[in-house]
Amino acid sequence: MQIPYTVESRPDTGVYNGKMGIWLFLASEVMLFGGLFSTYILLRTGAVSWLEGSVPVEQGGAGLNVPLATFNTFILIASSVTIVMAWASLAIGRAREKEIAHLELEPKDIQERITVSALSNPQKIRAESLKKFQFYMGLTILFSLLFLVAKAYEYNYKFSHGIYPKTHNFYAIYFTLTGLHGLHIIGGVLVNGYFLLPWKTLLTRFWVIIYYLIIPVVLIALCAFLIYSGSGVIFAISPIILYIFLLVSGLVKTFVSAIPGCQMWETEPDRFINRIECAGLYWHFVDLVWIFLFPVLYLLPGS
Amino acid sequence: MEHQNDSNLHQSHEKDDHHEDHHHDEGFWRKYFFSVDHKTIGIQYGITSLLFLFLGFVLMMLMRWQLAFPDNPIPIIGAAMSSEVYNQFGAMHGTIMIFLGVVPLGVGAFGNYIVPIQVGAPDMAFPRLNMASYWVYFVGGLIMLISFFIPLGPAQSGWTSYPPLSNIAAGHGQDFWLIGMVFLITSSLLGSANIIVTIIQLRAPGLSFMRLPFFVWAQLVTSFLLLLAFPPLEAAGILQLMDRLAGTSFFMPTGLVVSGQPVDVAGGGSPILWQHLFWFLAHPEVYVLILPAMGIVGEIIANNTRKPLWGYNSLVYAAIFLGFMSFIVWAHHMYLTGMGTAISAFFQTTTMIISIPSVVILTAFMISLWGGSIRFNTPMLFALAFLPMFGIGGLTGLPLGLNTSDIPLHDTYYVIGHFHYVVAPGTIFALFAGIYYWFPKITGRRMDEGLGKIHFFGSFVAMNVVFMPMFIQGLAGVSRRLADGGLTYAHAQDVLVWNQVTSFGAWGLAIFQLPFIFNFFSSIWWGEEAKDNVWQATTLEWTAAPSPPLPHMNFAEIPEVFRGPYEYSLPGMDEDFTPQNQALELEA
Repeated sequence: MQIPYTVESRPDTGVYNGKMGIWLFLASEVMLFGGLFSTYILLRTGAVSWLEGSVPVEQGGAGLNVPLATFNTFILIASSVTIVMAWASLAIGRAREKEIAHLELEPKDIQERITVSALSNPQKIRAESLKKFQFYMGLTILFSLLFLVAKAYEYNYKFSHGIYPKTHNFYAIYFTLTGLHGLHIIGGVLVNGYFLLPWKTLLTRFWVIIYYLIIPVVLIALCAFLIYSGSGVIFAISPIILYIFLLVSGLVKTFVSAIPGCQMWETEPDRFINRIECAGLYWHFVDLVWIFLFPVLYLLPGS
Repeated sequence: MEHQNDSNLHQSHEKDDHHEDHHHDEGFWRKYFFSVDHKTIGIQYGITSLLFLFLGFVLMMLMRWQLAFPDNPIPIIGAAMSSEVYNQFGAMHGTIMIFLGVVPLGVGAFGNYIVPIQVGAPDMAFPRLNMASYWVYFVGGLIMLISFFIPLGPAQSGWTSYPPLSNIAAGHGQDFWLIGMVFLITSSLLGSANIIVTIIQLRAPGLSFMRLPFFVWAQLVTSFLLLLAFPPLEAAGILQLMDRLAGTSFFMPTGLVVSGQPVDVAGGGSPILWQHLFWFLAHPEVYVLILPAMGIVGEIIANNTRKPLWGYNSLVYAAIFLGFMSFIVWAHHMYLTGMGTAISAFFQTTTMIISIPSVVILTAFMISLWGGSIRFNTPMLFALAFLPMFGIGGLTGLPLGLNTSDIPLHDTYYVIGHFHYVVAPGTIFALFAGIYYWFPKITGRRMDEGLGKIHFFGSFVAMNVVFMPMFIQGLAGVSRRLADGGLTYAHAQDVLVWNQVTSFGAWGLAIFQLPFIFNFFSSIWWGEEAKDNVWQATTLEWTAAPSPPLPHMNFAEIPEVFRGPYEYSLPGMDEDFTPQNQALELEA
């Protein structure tokens, strides 16, 4: 028995399950960032003096890089546009495909009168819309990575000038909020990267290399690092134990077969479109948080 | 039967190959550990949370020895409990009981197992997310457990973790606590979003909102509270981790002096900020603890009085109103911080208002008893005991909601007595009622009534012996945070004897849980076999699904609903119960 409304919308609520789920998740995220912005307001109103983001450190400001942040703002907005384009290329392709499938049911003379010769192959449309999707999704990921690079440059600049979260509560807020936002960006990159490529094929083809070579090497390096940094041996070898456990329990194999990536477009196109829509909603939210962060941290005058 | 299911599943699985491809040919791990079936996950939640409840209870029993006989060596262990260990056990008792015991049992176990079947769904809306929710909870619990064995022990600043004390606490216990909390919050986020979507999206045909059983309504409101109230604590947890690990001053005020030395931080933070963020979660959390319990009690009262719940609509609206109001009462935990009279006046007003829906719910349950031919079976006894016990807890809360009377009472045992009456003989009795009530549904066998009654009457007396003396001590002004129970305070001398009464009550309570533990395990294998609808109930989990429900699908086919949840003793019917999925015929 299948779970209802995973693909089509429930008539009386007007949404499919995933969409309601992602909106609830975003509501929860609003409360998370709401708590942090409230912290900002409370600490700022209670503070004797507050740094101004755009003023250099030598002149008593926070020394944030406003031009770079402006660049980041534009690039995030651009990535929000491209993820919509990625979704739209799938949705439009799917609609055309359905149109043609519908046409084939019509009598021959009507079919001939409507000239759709260039588009008459549903398989071709499907493959083409996937390519378009991959282009725009790739662009989205590229923009997100650019954002992260700019952010890393900003962080590095501050650390190299002796500015840390503990220096002043302004920086405490700055690093916490932008850091958490950065983690959300990384999460988005992982999700979007998952949708970008045919992971099932890739993992099945390279599974021996990945699971018997790459992952063990990474884990052993991690253990070595943990032992070197003075953690207990039990803690340090626990990732290896976990890995062996997963391998023995067969979960790794299930994992491979359970992550189709963009191959879901072949098997369940409507559901794949839904997933991209949800990923897009999340991405807009991450974008929106930055739209609030940018003026609050970089542009507001100090006191 | 099994074979039939398998072939059915096989057919459905061909349509949907990646989503449910683990349904047939399940291996051992898939079936019992990494199952995506909401029933298995519900049982996993149930077992884990019962173990944590037991652990929290053991910590408390050890603390009770220290309070009854301060600095005497504990029997068997042979050493006296130091104040540090007392503080650690106190903090972890609260954390384990609330975040790892009662909430996972009420929402994780009952919500997961019962809700999808009561709304006529084949599973939760997101089965794999559901599994993830359990395992994230499990890791969170594991982190809390590991913190007992690290140098300097677990968190020791109370379950509320007030800074600056928690910020400057030595060792890594507090860090473990914070990271563990982040896991638990993530788990409850996944679980609550799942329950909400399941209830709204997967309701069976005909099951309109006002036909949902009250238990489902309670779970829906609870899930919204978890979804929206927990993230601010996650924010607070992140900030405190930054304070402890990165040296920031979110909660560290300027000029803080610890043991004669000024603390080397930038300052400018606010300890009160933590309290706001913490209680913004922790007040709704109180309703997260009580609402599922009320839902269970509602089901059992309707079933065992053999008549509809009185005032179903007002119950539903009261639960929704309770949910909304619970977001704007949090600062009544903070009168002692000196917030000022204007804010205190606001919060004491909202607090008085929120007591109204609680009273509506309790009153509706009381009136439901009127004129019923009550069956006094074990679940009903626990549900009935819930009413006065929650009543005592609620009424003793009124003086705490008013600013003036709260100030002398707040840091005394009175508060401990108050919220334990709500949670222990209140919520936990309701959860016991739920276990006795749904045990036949889950295992296909009944629990023993005789042992159940011993469990109930013993626990009922012991609970009151434990918590009633706390009001006496609290009114005498004994502080609730003393590792010696007030031994060195002149004003506490007259009420010290109650420490021993309480402790013996607690150990007595432990003895009366033995029949339950024995009953629980023996009934799984040797209990009396139960029919599908053993309590002659009306809701879908009893009337449309076998006991236990079919793996991965619950029902042979999705039921259709024609009527409200509690159609008991309808005139003109042959039976005194009319299932929700029975078509309308006589009413025409």
